[in-house]
Amino acid sequence: MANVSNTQASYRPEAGALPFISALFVLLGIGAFIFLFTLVTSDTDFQNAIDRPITYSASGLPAGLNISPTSGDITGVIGSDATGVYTVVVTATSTDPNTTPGQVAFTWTVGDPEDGEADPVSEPPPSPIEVEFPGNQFSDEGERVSVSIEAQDTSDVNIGAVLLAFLRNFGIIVPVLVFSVGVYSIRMGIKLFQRDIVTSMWARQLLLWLAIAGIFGILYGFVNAGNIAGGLIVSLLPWVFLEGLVLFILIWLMRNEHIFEGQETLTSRNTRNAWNLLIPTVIILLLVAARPLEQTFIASLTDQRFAAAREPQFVGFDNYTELLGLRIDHIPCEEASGGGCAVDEDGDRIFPRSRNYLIETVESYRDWGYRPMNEINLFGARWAISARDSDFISAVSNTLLFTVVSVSLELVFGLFIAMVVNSKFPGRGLMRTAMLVPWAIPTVISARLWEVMLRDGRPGVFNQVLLELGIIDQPISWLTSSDWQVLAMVAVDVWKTTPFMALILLAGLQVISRDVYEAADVDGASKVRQFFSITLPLLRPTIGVALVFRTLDAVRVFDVFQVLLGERAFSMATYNYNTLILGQEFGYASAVGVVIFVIILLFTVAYVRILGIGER
Amino acid sequence: MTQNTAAANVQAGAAAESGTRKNPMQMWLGRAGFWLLVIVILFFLMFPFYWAINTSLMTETELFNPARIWPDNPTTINYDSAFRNDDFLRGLRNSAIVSTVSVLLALVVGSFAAYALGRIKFKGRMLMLYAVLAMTMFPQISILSGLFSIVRDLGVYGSLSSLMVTYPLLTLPFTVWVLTSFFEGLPAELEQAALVDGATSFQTFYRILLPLTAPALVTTGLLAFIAAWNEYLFALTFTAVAPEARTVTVAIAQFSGRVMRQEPIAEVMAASIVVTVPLLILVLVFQQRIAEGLTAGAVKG
Repeated sequence: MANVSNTQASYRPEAGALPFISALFVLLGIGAFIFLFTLVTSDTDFQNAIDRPITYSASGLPAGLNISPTSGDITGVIGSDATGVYTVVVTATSTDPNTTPGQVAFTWTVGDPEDGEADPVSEPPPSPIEVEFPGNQFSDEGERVSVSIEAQDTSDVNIGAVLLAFLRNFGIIVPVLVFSVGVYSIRMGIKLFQRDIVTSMWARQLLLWLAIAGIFGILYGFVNAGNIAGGLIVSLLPWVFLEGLVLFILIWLMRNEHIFEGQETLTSRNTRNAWNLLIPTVIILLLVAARPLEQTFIASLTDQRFAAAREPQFVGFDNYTELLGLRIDHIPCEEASGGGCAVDEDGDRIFPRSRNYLIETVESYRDWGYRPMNEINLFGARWAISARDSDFISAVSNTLLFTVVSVSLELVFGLFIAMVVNSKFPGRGLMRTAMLVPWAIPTVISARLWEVMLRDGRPGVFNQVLLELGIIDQPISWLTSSDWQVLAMVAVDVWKTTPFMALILLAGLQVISRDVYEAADVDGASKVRQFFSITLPLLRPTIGVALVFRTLDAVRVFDVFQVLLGERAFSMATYNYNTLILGQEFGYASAVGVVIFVIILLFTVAYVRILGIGER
Repeated sequence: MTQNTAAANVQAGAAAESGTRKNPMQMWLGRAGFWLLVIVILFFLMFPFYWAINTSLMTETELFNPARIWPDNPTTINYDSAFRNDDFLRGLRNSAIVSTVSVLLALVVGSFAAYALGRIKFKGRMLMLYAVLAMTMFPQISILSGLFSIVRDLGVYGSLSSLMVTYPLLTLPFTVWVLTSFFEGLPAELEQAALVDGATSFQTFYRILLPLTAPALVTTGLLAFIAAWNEYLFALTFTAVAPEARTVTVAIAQFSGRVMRQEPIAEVMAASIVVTVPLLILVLVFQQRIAEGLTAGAVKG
């Protein structure tokens, strides 16, 4: 460092506008912080969650008088026919629904304006809302009246509500982005001032993208001009100004590259180029994946329902604990009179009804909404599995069963098909086309097609063939009997997506050099041996990619289950659909989505660990 | 030394010859077994499609007779009514537009990203690869409402653009991953030569590497096209208020029976054959390239 400053002392070009430009970057950073701060503090929802303003209402007021809902002032002109004794009850309600409303009641004798003293008849009931009744402030002029009630919510601030208000209005991504822009741009300003060449290159890159964004801004200004009072000029001016500023700085930095010291490292240049190329992907990622996912996550922390009058409340992770509530309990047998277990006439042990036993012995079993799902008898002992949301748990087990069976079958069939298509024979081109037929049919339609084929009775082709061949005596209800449902789904999915697997595996097979097999032939290795010791190991990375994409698709399976099984049996995605569209439980359904996301994430991590995908 | 190698080669050749020279009976059996396998696979792949054709040639009442391998009185009435259905024809056109735009978008954006991820060493590479993969980690239904509000905020709700904006969610992850592994497989010398000649990274990318990836682009493009062509849930949701923007899958799902309260299954099957045929033609045209593309790509994750 000392050396560098020595050389700098000998020759250092004029900085020119550099201090101004650095200052602009720092200002931009500070601006981002100020913007974030004002955005949050000026947001009424967020402020209300902290301040919890009071809404006033009154009953029993003399005719002609009204209470202002926001300020609590009772104003108006008492009509001449309004004389009498009134019992007035003022209710102060906090925006926090967990706070009990406060009340104040007083009697009011109207008739003699001179003797307008009103006295509270009772103390306000205990409530976190402090209600102050400053007394009667009658103006004696004529019959104009002004009474003021003041109340304040003195309970603790509801952290959940504050958090929710923040998340709902700003999300997570935008504040983080604005904050990082602030930090980054201040750092950039300082580094620029220090004449750091790497920073200047990054600044140029950033400005280039800003300039492109500015062009879109100008276009937006043109389109939007009609909606703004000032017309074209007002709508365009800020964008044109920004574009000009950005272009000015950009051009200045490009022209004055010589004032920056040192040379850009290759790493920095590579990283810059890489992110440059990734910008469109990042934008799409943020827009269509990250933002919606963020909203789903935020909604999953609430009890939001569609078309509900009530504001959604923050419930923390309640939705998740309900979804994932699962317990396994040991059920002891009924005791025989002489000790040991009681047995029935078949010699089987007698057990109490699991539900009754658990409700009696397990505290809060019923309060938490547990219900027995299944019983397992193991070595004479009995275990009961109970879940809070048994539909979801069975959806998860259906989906996992479906995924494991169908993906393994697809792998085996796909490998077979790929190897056949990979060998040379006349008509290979047609075979390659035929291979993609099942995949080319839209899933919604192929599901309907299988519905036709799997129909009950003889109109369904499977039943007809099996009956004709004498394999079964009675037609099978593929889609309604719970023994066959998931297997039928596996059949449809295997048929539908094996081509995808086969296509990717085919690609992997074609890369394997023929020389390897020839050498193996020379050594006299059998075909089976060749398959296991050459094909499979060399194909492993390809199998990895294929497995990842197929598994992710299988875990998310929707169309097939939805069309063929509807509400008879759920996959995770159709269960999600059901809670969302039919149940209208937006918060709960969002939690389902997040749980599915986490399950898939676990699958991916497992694949990456086991198969080493993506590593160079 | 060279003579030795040559001798070894001759020996190896002879060994290979003798290895393949089995007795004719065995060879014949092997051939027959192979063709049997081909037929079994073809049957497995094509039977449901054949059944769709079979069903599409029946009248609705025939559908309730016991299944037969060929309808007694084949009829094209279902195709006629599909082609007379304006919603269906408009759906075909919409699907073609949306799928084409989605493919182009996925290929342009995806090849940029794949080049960066496959050829450049930089901090955050693995993170980006998994961020892209994370796009496929939740069911479409889970983010439907979030996506809905974004589509509305962008002002494209109820138009074809809403689908063009959202379909990258389906097409991009796969495109990026396959193209990335493709780029990784290209020899490094190509770029080094270009860099020595003073080309920028971007020039290297679109002058030298991109033309080499043409087969892979065709393959992933085709897969992306099929994905967009077949999409149903987004199309159903985002075009709910705009019948004129419905894609063909939605149009077919909304076929209403001529007979009261009865699903026109045969007509749906006829329409689905019509929908699948363009894809099959695309595949047939490009099938040579598919193999090439993925081969050259050396999909290796």
